[in-house]
Amino acid sequence: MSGWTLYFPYAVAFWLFVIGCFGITQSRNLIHTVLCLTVVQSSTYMLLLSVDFHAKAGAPIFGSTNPPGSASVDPILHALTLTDIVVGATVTALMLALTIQIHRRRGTIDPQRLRPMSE
Amino acid sequence: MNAATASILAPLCLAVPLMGAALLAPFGKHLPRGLSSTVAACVSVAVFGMAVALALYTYHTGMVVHWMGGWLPKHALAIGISFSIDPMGAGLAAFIALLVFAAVLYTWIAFDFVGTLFHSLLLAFLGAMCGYALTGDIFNMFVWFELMTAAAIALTAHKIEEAESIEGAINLAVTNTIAGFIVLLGIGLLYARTDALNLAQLGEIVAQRPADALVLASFGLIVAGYFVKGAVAPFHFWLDDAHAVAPTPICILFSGIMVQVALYGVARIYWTVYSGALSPQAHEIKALFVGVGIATALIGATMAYAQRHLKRLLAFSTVSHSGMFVAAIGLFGAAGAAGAALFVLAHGLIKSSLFVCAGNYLNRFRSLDEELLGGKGRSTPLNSALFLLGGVALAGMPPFAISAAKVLYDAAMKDRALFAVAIVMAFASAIDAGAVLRAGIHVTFGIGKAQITGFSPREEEPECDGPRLERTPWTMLAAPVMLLAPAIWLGTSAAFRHGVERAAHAFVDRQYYVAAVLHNVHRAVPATPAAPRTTEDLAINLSVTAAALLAAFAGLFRDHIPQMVSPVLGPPLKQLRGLHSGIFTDYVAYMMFGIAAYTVYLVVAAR
Amino acid sequence: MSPRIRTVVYLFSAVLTFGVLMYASGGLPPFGAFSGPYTDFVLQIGTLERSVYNIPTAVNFDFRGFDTLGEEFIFFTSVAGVLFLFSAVKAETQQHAEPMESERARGQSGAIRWFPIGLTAFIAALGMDLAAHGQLTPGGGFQGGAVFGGGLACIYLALGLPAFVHAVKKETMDFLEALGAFSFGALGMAALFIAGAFLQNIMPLGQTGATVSGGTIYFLSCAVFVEIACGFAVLMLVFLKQTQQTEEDEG
Repeated sequence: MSGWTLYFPYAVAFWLFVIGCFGITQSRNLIHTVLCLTVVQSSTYMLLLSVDFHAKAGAPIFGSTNPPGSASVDPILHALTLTDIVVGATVTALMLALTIQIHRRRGTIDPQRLRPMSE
Repeated sequence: MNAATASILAPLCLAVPLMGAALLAPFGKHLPRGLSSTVAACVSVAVFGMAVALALYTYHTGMVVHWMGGWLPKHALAIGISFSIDPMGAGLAAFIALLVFAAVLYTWIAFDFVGTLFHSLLLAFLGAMCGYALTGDIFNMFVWFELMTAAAIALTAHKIEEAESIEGAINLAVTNTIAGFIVLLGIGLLYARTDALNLAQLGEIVAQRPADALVLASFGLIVAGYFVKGAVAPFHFWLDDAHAVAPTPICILFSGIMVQVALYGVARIYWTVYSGALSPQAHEIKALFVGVGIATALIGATMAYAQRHLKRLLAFSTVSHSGMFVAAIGLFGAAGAAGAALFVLAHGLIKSSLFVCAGNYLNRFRSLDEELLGGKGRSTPLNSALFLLGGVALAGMPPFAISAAKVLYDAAMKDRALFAVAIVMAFASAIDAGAVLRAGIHVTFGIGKAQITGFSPREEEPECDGPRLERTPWTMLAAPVMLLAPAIWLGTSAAFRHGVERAAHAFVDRQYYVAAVLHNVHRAVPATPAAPRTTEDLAINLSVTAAALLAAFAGLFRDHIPQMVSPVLGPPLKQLRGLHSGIFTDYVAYMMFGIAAYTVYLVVAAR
Repeated sequence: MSPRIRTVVYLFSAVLTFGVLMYASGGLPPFGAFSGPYTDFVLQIGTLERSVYNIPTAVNFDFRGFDTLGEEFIFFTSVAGVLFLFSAVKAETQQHAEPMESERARGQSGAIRWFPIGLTAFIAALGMDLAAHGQLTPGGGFQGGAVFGGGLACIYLALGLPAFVHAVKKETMDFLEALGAFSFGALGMAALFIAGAFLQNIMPLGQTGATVSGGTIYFLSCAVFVEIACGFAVLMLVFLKQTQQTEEDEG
């Protein structure tokens, strides 16, 4: 890899962020919104994991073939990404619960038709 | 108290509420209401006590740094996560616990009981905010931020039978979740540069070379993300939706402390991580904060004035005050930080009491609409009196504490010849408090014409069960009294004010922070002379109060005023109100606009 | 705001944001070239001082165990929030009649009934294995718990809601989930009072590569497994019961 391709993974991360939020602004269905939030979240995974990558290094899991001290990628960002995944799962659960309830009350899950406090 | 005890108390401020939450949750409806509330109340009182003890200890002896997992820094390299507690952080944690205690009490006396989950969520919320205030690690701050959001979503949608509650919660969920991801992107960028997550460590590494686009962009992202929770323009739109539908104790917490905690986070991150590296750009960053603060203050005040629903009015007032806090922080000095801190405390107490009074109106008259309530306030004289008192307190009338706070940051402004900023702030305060006073006067005396713009469901479900109240019970009236009384004390106690000033000097001193966290060098807060109260400041406060009353009466008797103003102000106001559409799809578009504005400004202008 | 204006505002801002972030990422280390003292330290010390092979697990439960406490409570709060959202409605707290065996389950042959149970048992065992050996191989409490929860879904998919409700006892799962969350905090507090630092690794570390090693890392991982697995079970139960509610509403 050389030149601009070295920064391509970061571009993917930022692209995911922007396109995920775009999906939310165009959303006509709350479940679609929840999935777009997942896309936005995966942009953070992409950034975190791209940052910590070491070329020609293995996973930070040692063993007999991979003794401690051999080259490895950064484990700290892996741990942060794990935390991030749990955060995403939990918000998804809450949003889906809210979606079910709003469908019960209003009969629709189209954000454009849910206008509670328009002036 | 010695260092070992302080070190033990530090993580308990967080662990006790969280474990309390875990303890209460599985019981569901099997626990009697009193027991569940008692546990929650005891936990919040315990946290309050611990935080106050820590605040006093750190004030006199030096920062308390507790390294989780026992991982002390090796050769000034931070390995574990630290709770880096200074008087400001501990004081904020104490205030958080105080307001949660108030919310628990109000729930006890005025609320339907639906099981222990409500208290469990409240305790989780308490723990998260305390963790956020006390931690010294940037990713740890993000974790507690997410916990705050998760609890807030569930608590907002408490009145689940009403569709509006759910819609408000959805708006909160979408905007605050994206905010969290924005912050995480910023943290990722920063980590890529520094390979560190501890605030002190980050500050040291980032200060080693001049700030480039990467550092500035990460700052922009982190600020934008936390400003969403801090309800700063253009990220503030979710707050009024959430407030309009959330139950009163939750409004107390959102307006009283959650918004302010996020702003504290921004200030903390700026002072510990970025102040060293970004000192050449301090002027531009100050311009950003002050500019955004003024814009938010004006938008919030104007929108507050245009509301007829009491809770939405108070919510926009919070947005406006949030702008004032940001401007005060943005003045970048100890005086600004001290002023903001005192302002946060006073505002939290006063706004909470206003929300409780509004909640009392809701329970008594089943409405929060200014027009519908017109004149009914006479039958609850004490509640209405407290509401009006809250209104003038918000304007800054002595002896309430906001006047003391204004003194401090007005002083900062006068020093730096930012006179225009002070004028605009005073104007926004006047409009904002004027809106509250207008509503209060109309509800109490029925005079004048009520506000007719703004969204308002006319009839609403009361929050407490049982038959319609004939009189407001004394317990519901005791709450605002108990909240306003400390506000008076805050305003009149020169010793407390001086203490906050000294704590603020430590807060803005990056070297002080780094020395304590990485090098284990602990010093008491620096002794600084107290800023004196002058008659000039008193005059400012009285005139802002008078302006607020003027604004209130102008609103009530607007039919009698010559129609000069509305052709000019009408169309922009209509546009502004149109922006607050209630759908999160618009809000996300505004958020992206805000992110672009902040980051482009920082990267281009501040180089 | 009309949709078109919103789209224009958004696209304009998004292009700017993307541009400025790409510009800023010029300062990032090129892909594959990251290094730093914190990373190096953790990689060197992880196995040496904590007797684990899986360094991200060590980071998750030891070096940065405090973050994991927060993460665990985020999950706990969300499950509590979902329960709260579904229980606060008065109408929905009516006891449903014990659900009749669904059409699907009644007509199935023995193999179709028993195969999913076997599959669930296998997946559950896999989940527990992932959690229990988290310090040796890729895995840990979170991963194992999620797999376990996924395994429970097999029961629903094959046998329908009544079997699922029968298999997953809500009260027990609630209790176990809270127990998992509570014990994480309790281990941390025990470490605080015994050793002076919250969440310090105070248990014997064992031998690297042994099944039980890593001290508190192992036990914290197990506590998290219990919490996540039961949390997912409760979540699925609550959500799946909504399908029954919807059927009742509609039919």
